[in-house]
Amino acid sequence: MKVVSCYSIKGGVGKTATSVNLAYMAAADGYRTLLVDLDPQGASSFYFRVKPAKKQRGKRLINASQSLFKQIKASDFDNLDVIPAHMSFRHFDNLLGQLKKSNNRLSKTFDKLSKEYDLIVLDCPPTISYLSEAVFTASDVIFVPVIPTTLSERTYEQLLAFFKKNDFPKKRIVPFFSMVQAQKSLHKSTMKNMKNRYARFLKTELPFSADVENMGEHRTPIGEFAKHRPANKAYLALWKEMEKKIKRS
Amino acid sequence: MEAMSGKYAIESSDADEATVTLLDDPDFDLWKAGLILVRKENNGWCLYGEKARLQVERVKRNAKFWWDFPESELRERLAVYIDLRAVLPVTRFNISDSAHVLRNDDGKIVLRVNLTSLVDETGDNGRLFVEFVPLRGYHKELKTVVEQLGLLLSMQLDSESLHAKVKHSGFAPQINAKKKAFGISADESVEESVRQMSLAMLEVARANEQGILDDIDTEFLHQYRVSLRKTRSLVNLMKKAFPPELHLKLKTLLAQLAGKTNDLRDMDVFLLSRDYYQQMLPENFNKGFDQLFGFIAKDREKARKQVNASFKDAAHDKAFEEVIALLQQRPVFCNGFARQPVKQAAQKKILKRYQKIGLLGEQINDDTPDHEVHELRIECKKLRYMMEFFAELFPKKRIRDLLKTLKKLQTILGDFNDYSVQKEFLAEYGKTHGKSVELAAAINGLIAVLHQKQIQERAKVQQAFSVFNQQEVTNEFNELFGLIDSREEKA
Repeated sequence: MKVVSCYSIKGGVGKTATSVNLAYMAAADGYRTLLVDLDPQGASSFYFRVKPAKKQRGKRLINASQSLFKQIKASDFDNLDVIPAHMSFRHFDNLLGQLKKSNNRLSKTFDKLSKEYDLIVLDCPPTISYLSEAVFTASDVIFVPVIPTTLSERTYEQLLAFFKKNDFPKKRIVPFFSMVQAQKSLHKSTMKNMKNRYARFLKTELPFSADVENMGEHRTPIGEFAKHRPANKAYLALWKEMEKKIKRS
Repeated sequence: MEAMSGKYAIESSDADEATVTLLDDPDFDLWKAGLILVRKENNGWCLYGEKARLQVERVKRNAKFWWDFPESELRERLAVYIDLRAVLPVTRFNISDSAHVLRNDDGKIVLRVNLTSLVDETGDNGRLFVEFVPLRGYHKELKTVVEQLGLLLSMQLDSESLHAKVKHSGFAPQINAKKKAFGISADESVEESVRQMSLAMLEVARANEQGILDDIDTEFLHQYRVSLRKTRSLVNLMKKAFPPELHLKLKTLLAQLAGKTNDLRDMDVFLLSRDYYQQMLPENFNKGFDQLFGFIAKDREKARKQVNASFKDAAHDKAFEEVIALLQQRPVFCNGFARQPVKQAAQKKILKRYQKIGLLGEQINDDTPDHEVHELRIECKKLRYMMEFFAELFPKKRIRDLLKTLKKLQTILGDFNDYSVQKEFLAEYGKTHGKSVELAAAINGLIAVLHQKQIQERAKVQQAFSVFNQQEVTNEFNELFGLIDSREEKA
């Protein structure tokens, strides 16, 4: 079982759309996939039309793993389950923190998860918090969407600095360009600069696209309603690149 | 569907509808294994198992044997279950599959439902099957829907297989149960038992006649012959149970019934083993080989017509009816043997035969003439039949184990004999059909290979016999068939 996350300090960069389409395409390729919506705004849950179970009161940590399993919901697609966004995820960071360590009472939870799933996709909230630190520890690969603007370049640098300061392995970070408008010269020059400075960028660039925005209206991954559109083709190419990274991680 | 959906919105796929023919072999081997073989109207075939479904398209018309199908998993599976038997249409039904999803207010799928309807060819018997596919995290929705339908647990099928559905629709094939026992008892008289057993075996023979006339597969003739051969064996091995003139009549009539089918069976065996013979010869013999099998196929057709004519001849029915009438007569008890309890008589006969085999076999070494080896084979066959005839009077497992030991020896002796029969058959064929050089070459080539195989088999005889002749086996024979049964004494 591999754990990947979609993460960005900055909001509105296409992080949720990437998580949703990535999970959908992985499942379609046969990976038994679990998408965990860690963002309290619940956008990826919304896209998959799942709601959290009601009345989940904060229980003690020992029960957190059990309640986690109860939260799993089948999506409308084969091989793809979702844990919807929920306030009780204040416990989830604890679970994540334990993921890489064995010999503890939570490891059984993850044993069970790893029997059921090949891939866990974490859709993260756009903050640097104790939750994101747990995500960084737990993830095999951290995909970071970057809009090629000066501001995004800065936040990307902040992320790298944070990793350095806290001694997280920088190798796990895999950035890619998102919401690219090829006609804008600022986008072009930023991409050129960043590619020169950071070799780790994926080749695929996600274009800025109305089809991606329409996901909110269709409430379904883009492959379901705009299969032959350029945006979907870009996501497919991106997933193929990501798949290689995941396999190698 | 509306009835169960309640507050959910339904989305339905178009129904996948087809009229299909269900096929099986005469013993219903597929049905018994929980499999369903169907032929669709476009001549595509489908084999349904517990979960998986195997398919082949573009099958030749009139396909009925496994080797008629194109290379596929379906063909391999058929070979396992039907072996030499043919599949025939059994019934037709209309099958309709449709998939439905129920969505909640968010448009989220909360339950998948598959519907299958089966209607038989009369259109009178139909069943609708509902399969709920629960989705993780949506069990409450499943419960609501099931409650709405008022479904009870007792209505659940234990399997989702097509076999379970067809069975539930009321399809129940008439399976001729192969009788494992004759229903004789240890104290019954020899004459009564032998009459009863012979009649049972003749009934099996008669039941196979129509299949031979219709030329469905080679097994009908095979089973017809086996039943008759066993009847003859029983009547001859226990001949003292009848007055001499009655025995002679039975023997003559039975020989007459069986003899007419010899040629056809010989040809069947050759044709069935075509691949086996083909691999004995290099490719440049193919022309002659094909000629040979062309002749055999033609002769087989001739032999089949002869058998058909003889079966339709009034004399055939008359002979059968006469044998049956003779066996149905009340026992005459012409001597003490006829009146003896059958178990006791069988024990004596079996043990005697075993001892005879011991004496015969011990004299066999690598230089013993072939006819003595054949004699040993015939004695072994008689012993095997005797043990099988009366098996129900003895402990099952012990008889089975002894038979297993005996069969190992019989296989070697049988193969040794088969090679000579095949050699003779081919040599005879060469004489009567030997016009072409290629044909002669193929026949001589086959004879040479068979001869080598026979020599190899002959070399195994002595060793195989010594395994059969071990002290342990002898002890077991003595214990099971010795007249003083220690167990019964104690009891």
